[in-house]
Amino acid sequence: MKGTAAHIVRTLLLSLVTLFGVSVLIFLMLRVLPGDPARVLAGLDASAEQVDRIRAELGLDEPLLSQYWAFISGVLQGDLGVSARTSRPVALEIFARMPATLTLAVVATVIGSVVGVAAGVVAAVRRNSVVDHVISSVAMMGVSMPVYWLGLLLILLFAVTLGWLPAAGSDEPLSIVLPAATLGAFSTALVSRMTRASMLEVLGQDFIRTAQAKGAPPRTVIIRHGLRNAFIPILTVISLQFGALLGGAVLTETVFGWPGIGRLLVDSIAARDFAVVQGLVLVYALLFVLLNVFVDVLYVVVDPRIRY
Amino acid sequence: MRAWRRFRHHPPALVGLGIIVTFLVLAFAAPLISPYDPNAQDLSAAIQGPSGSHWLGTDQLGRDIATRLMYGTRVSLLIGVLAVAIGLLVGVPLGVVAGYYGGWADMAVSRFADMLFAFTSILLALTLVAVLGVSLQNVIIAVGISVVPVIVRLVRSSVLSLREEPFVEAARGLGASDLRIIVRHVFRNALTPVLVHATLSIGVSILLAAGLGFLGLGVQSPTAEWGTMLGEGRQFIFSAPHLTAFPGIAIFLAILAFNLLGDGLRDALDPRMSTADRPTG
Repeated sequence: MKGTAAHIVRTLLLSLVTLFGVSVLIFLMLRVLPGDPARVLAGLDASAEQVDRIRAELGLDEPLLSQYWAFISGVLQGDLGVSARTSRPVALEIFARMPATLTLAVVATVIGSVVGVAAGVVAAVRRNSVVDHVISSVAMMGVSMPVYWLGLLLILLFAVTLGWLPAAGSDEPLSIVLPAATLGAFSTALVSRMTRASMLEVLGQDFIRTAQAKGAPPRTVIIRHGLRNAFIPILTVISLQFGALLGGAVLTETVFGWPGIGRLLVDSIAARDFAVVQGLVLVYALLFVLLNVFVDVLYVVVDPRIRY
Repeated sequence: MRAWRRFRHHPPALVGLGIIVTFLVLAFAAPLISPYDPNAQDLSAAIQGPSGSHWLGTDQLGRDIATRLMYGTRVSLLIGVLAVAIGLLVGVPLGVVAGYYGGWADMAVSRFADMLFAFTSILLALTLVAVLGVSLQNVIIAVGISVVPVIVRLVRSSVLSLREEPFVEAARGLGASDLRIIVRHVFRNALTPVLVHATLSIGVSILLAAGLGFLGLGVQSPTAEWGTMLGEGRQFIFSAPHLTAFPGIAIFLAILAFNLLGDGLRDALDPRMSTADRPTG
């Protein structure tokens, strides 16, 4: 167990290094690349006065190092700057939109995990049957489908033609169905492919034959002996997919007008509101890094064989 | 040769290859096939459904959608191939150095890759395009950089395991230089997973670039690009769904093709990596 604790501490430290790197990278991207950073951070519509104020606030005539220090010590105190578009603190803007995105990503992950694992198991157990071919083909199409196009198709079918579900917004409880299904489709396809491959691997092992020979019911063999042992790679895909979903939400939220941080990012880029973009990149990176640490810890919990 | 035989007997991969070849033909022969200019506007013929003179109909400016899709194939394939080329040019050397030398070099390269990963590809591409400005060149650079971390990790882990192989140790024992070992023994054997992944990455890059276009941050109008066409057609989704349907089908088919081809290459070149069926028991 001591080795495990040390490994987790090491992972945490490396994550801090990664986060530090991301902060340097986004800092440099917005300041060293061509263009006047004060003007960029103030937004294109800002008056000369506003630009001068920002330049003074940021201390842009000072050396880069002290500028970075001022930036990062602000960030560590929860100060991500002020949005040029709304004049509200960036941290508040992001915080207000965060629950919508997290809800969407969680629901999409649940859809992806439940449907994906079930489909993958069925495909593996009924290998080379018609069912398997159908599931595998649909999964292949699923991983090739542009998420925004799928979203538009679902809107056309369920909102316009059938009129069953709202097309956009987040005002009704049912509003989440289409965006979550859209966002979850890719995960479902990916998880089912991974589950099928992983299950096929495990079902070929000797202990499965032993279990069958013992006369264990097929369900027990598949679930308890098969799925349990096939679960580690599946779990990895599901967890990492959650991170990808947060990113993928950028497109889904735009299609469905879902008020999350993905849409905030697109709107901020369009308005060249770079203080918000900078803050969002940091928040995304933090979420992503935390997720990776979580996956690392999860391995140890799920699979007692793994010790570091 | 055995690989080619396996590949030939892999119907999905052949379908993928067929789609890609078709796209290539359409891209190059576009001026021969279509009588229209992709950017010629004809407002009197705006938003028409598919017909004999306009096979896939016309868009909001009366431009022929089929023609624009064919010319758009050039843009999408160019972005896909060049972005992956950037990813390989930067990612392969970094991955080799990290995997072969280990130690501090590995630490530095791996943290760099982690950092790019933490950005997530779409965020990285969006931010880069936002900062650099929107143009075809910048889209290629942005998408290319987002391919880098994937290649770095892949190459690093293959080199890491190859480094311990007896044939590498033998070469080292014979006094071969690091460069010679890397080029002749390590890289050659790491090529298969890289090739498979590069193929899949072309599809991913096309998808990402089309996503940027859809958000209005990709290749700009009037240049015909699939994602931009889809994004601009979106406002007519209720009245004229064909404006979004056909570009969507094009993007879907292109990505499907590279996924099928990548899967087929993996099964053909390295049966050990295969997720396909194996005889059991």
